[in-house]
Amino acid sequence: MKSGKINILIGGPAGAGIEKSGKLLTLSFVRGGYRVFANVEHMSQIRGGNNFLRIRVDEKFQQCHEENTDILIALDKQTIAEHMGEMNEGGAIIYDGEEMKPEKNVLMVNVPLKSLAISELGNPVMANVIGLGVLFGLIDYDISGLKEVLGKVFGNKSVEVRAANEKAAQMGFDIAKEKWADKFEIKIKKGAGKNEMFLMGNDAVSLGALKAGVKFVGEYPMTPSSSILHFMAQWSEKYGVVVKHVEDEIAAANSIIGAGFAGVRALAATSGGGFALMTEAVGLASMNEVPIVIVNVMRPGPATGLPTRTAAGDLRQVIHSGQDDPVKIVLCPGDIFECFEMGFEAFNLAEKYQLPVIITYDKNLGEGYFTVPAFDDSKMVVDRGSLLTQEELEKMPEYKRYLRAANGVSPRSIPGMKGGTHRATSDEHNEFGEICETAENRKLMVEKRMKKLEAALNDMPKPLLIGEKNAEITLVTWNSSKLACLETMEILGKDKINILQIRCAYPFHKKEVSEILKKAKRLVAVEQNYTAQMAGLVAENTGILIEEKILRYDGRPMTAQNIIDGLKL
Amino acid sequence: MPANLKDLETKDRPNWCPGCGDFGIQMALKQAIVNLGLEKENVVISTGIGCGSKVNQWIETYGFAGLHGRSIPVAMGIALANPELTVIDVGGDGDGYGIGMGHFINTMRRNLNITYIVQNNQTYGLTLGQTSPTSEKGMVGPSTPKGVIEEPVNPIRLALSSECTFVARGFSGDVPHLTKLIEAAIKHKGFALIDTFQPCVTFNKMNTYDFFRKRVYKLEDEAGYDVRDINEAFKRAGEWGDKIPIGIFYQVERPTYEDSELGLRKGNPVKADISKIDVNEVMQGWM
Repeated sequence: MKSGKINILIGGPAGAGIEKSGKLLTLSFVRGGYRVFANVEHMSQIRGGNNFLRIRVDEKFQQCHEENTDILIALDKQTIAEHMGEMNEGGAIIYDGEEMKPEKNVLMVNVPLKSLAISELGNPVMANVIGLGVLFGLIDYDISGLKEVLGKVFGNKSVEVRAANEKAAQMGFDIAKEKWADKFEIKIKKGAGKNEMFLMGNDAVSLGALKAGVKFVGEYPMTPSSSILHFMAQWSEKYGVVVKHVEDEIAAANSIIGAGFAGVRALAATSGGGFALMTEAVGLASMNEVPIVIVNVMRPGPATGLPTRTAAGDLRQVIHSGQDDPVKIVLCPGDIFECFEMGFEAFNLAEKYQLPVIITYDKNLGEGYFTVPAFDDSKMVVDRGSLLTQEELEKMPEYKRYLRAANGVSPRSIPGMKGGTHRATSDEHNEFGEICETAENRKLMVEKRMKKLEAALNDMPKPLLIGEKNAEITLVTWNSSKLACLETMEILGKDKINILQIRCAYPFHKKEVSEILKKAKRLVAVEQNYTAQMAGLVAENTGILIEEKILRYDGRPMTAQNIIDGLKL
Repeated sequence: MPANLKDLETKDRPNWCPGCGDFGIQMALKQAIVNLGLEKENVVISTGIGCGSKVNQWIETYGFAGLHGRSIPVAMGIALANPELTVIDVGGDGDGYGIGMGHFINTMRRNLNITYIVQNNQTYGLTLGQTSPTSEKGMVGPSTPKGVIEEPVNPIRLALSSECTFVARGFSGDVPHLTKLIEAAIKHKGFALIDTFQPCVTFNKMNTYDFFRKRVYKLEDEAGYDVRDINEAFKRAGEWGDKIPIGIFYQVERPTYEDSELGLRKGNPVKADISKIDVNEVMQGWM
């Protein structure tokens, strides 16, 4: 008998209740002590099509999915056809329809969910909950977990509705136990809940920002970043955060610059197309030395591309955003913990170096769900850099907003402070902020801004060598491809595989990355774009060419299997 | 300490063309700040790009000179980050009625507490005299050598139909009148637009000081003109020819955006203590 882990897939047309069912399922497992990784694959439409949710249930912490399935809940016929290929031998398909004979050894659990929901519960909507009950019956997972979660998810519904849902779950459970459970091998035992969080990468970034004291959010909705806007709107009143859904991304970027100039920590989140509209403002924040944070959650492009799928192809756009050479910092989190840490740290970096900080990661990380213990935020310290106090300002005989300090960082006054009036000017300006076009001033001010990057580099998350130094193969990666690399290392072993994760794309840790690469035996770039953008950046900065590449650019997340196949061992 | 005119002086002097309408606007703006007894550190002037947008270079308050067409979103961010500030936005007709039109309309309907002065010279001065969204039909410029063939934007009518709560027009050739308008606009709770005729002595040979002096009349001098009557305001906004009205077209009190914004209930964001924010409640929600 197999136990302790199972891969589940719920598929069907948009609007069929995949998300709700998924929430009930995953929470039931999380509360039973399991670590769940879940990831939605949906089409960019509100109704119809074929969407699915992959749920990987394991006692161990998992951060990416496998491409095979033990139990498929098919909410329509198409789902069975599309996913039959990935069904494991001995797996089961729960569906409601005509009898089918599968071409391989798969248990066809055909239950008249809809007619039962109508005849027994008087409501066809309950069909999905009966289906979940069937699943729990098959694996013999204590149904009380699901009932508890029903209470949470439908907490605001009437007592009758909750009772009907519980009855539906029990009914499915009993049917499965009686008719199919002994024909299905995998059993999952409900344990004690570990009180862990179940959240998306976007949630973690948002939480980091909230912890950092974000007070203004200017945003225009764009998949797959909108959940950050929704999060902030939900907590706006409680935490005193002004959240403005503005008319476009240009307004979003410029409004956070206004808020940053006025002295609050300000955030905008978007995806590639929206970021394209923000690029002029990235230059503005750089020139006027205004701290802002922009989150760019990547999806496949160009243009509309695949709006609801994943990619990591905006690296070049992000690091090169803005005409000429605007100083900026680009952070690339690769897991849920880094999402939280960088969501917080970005604001410190922005204020310490008075420039725009861009956090960029792929949809697979942003909208992927992870099960983790509560984050430890006890060591997080808000650092506002050279922001002056009124007292400090009054002691200055003469205030220069753009003073050419040794590290390029000038003391900053904000509106309302006496003695600190100045103009922040997008034209080239002198130390006072006055427009100045002399060649000498221009040269000095360009150098002043650039110096900040040298200083910032020491403060930014360093490249990470994961695994053993002497491994045969070094996978060079960034963003959520890291998670598939980790699984590859787990499967092939640490003698074989180690991982170089690049966590900052701009400025670039040339020395640190070079040192790691020079010691590596076989280098392979693992990325989710066609041109291996990070490998290009590595070459540009270190002179080291990574010839071998494993690239996925079909809009689906990288898996360990992709990497293992690509390595041709 | 309330500012006097000398406090508002900068080291540099304006570099506009002699006779430029921007001088009158700058003078009126400074005078209004003084007359209202504002403290210079509590005033922020946000500008876009254009000759007139340099106005904040030469007024000693806080100032932000941003991108072409984007002064309004910047002003919005400032106003919402620190609602205690007096936020004044100054930009040209290209800035507000051309490239920044989307921000202009959307910000009016929000009724943020911002005063927006548009230096409307009906031409693009800084880029050497192309026609602007408010250029009259037939006006010749380097981008329209045979004359403009489209209708001009009517900013007053746009504002009236965009739920703007204070809609006025000034003339930089009448500084005392413009000063009073700016004072009224700053005192107004909500978004205040002052579209201001600002003759460009170098590039606009049609809409000169003389052109306006012959035509403008003041709405407040009109017997029975009621600033609460939006239909009358709309009618007057259509007048162009021998008689062109200036003054307050329309003014109404409505709750400001700041009044209703949930994120401001805890107080002024810029004064919040952000050193020890407890996010446990949020994490609990994910368990």
